[in-house]
Amino acid sequence: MIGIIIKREWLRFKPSILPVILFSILFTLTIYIVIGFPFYSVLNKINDLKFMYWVSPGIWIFMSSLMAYLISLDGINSLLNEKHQIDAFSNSPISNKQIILGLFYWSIILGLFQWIISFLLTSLLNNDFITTGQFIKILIQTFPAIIFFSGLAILSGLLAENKFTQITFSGIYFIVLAFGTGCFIPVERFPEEIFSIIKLIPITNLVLGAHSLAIQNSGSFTGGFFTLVSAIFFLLISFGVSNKRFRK
Amino acid sequence: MEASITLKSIAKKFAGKTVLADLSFGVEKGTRFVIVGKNGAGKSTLLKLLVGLIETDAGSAYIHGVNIKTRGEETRALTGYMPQIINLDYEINIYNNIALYAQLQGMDLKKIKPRIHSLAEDLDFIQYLNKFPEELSYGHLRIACFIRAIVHNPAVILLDEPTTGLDLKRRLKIWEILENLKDKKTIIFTTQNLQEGERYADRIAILYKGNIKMDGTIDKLIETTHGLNRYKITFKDDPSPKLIEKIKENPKVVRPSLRGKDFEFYSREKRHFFNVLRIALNQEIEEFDSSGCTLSDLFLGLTEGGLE
Repeated sequence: MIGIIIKREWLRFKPSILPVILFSILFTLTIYIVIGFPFYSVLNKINDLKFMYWVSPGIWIFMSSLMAYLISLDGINSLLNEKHQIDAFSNSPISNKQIILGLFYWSIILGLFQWIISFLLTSLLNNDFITTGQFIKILIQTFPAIIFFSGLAILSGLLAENKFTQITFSGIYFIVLAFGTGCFIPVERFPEEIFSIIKLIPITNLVLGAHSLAIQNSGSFTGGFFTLVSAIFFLLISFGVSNKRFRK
Repeated sequence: MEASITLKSIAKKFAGKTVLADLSFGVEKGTRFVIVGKNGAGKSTLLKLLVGLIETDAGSAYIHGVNIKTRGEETRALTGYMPQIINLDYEINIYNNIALYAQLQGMDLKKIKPRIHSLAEDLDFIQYLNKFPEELSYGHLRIACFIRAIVHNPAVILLDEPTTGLDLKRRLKIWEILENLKDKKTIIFTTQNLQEGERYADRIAILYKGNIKMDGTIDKLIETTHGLNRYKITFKDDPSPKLIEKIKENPKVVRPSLRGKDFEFYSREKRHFFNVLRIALNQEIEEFDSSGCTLSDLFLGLTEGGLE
């Protein structure tokens, strides 16, 4: 059953392959140019590492999370739109949980695809490739972020019926991810009182871990673990809320 | 006969408004059951409830003996549903819309294509399968919804106003397909077209304010009127209000109504008609007509009162 939802998403996605690839490349490049370069001129080096190298894992996390989030939100909105497409699924033997998991898995696949694209682009631009070991470790470390934002999008789509509310919250999530968790700027340089609070957020921990894996090839996976737990929590709430939205 | 659908004291409210109230009835396997009722009577709600799109506030419903609330996934596998609205996926072509639904219903992948093509051929729809919903007219989209509802050959077919928006040819074709499924499937449909209900259903239920006001075969329902006939007198000129008042004074004249020059009423015995005719002859009459009660008469009488 979950496979049929993934197939539906694939059929919807097929005509948009080129625009999505374009988004995937252009957005990464835009971030690299408009955020990476200006900060590089100010910060130059972090922990003896050129800023452009340092920021790369942040770009991978940000872009893959954004892609997973957008795909997930689009999937849930396409079912709950004014055409009542959810009804066609809800009157078949599929369960709400299977519908949500189908959307969830699909967005994770595209999140990973975006991760690879962003990784390749920044590596090419920096002319610096990490080792296979580092690649695997960073991927494992950042994977929960993709899961987290995919789950968050499903929950947001289920809770916020109004499109404007969805846009507002999406904006807030990604501004916080970009500048409040250490993706694009080092949170260690924030005032100590702020840093001591934000480093308790699982996703900040995950981002810090990814940066340190890229720099020293070692880092804590605690942030990743707690981000994963949060994602599972979002999914469980989504399963509960779905009954109100899918079957009234 | 074995029960296909059983409803026990079903109740449903939307925003504090009662849509279904203490509704109980059963439908035997292989029956074609039509639900008629005014807009907002609860017809669509009832079908949505049976396919699991909405949940009941009270009571229980069973399809083939299986509770729809506790074992909804099983009952949904037994049903095929055509909604009144078009709920097709607009980003996917018609064929994939139907094929995905067939897969959700557990159909063998190899059998899906021939089945869709065979139904589409029957309905002269084959050329539209590769089109996207936004390229098609409302009638074509309704056909797509009909094919989707029966593609997996369900035991219970639930159709919400299946022929609305269709041309005559396709309307007849749909009835022909359903006619061929007679006795093999339980078919429940709602309609505003009482003639279709009368013609194609074995059993008719009149839903009024969330409950079934009358239920039975058409003959049985007509029987309840105890020989009531409908009479119509057409005057040459507008009849005078005084004349109409005089006719209405007759207690045996049931549900009198005047529409332009046409005066209609119901009565059980012919002599009452002759009494009315005698009064009416004070003005020039162009035509008069009498007929037995139809489902439309019964429906209007029940929902708007006055036939008792």
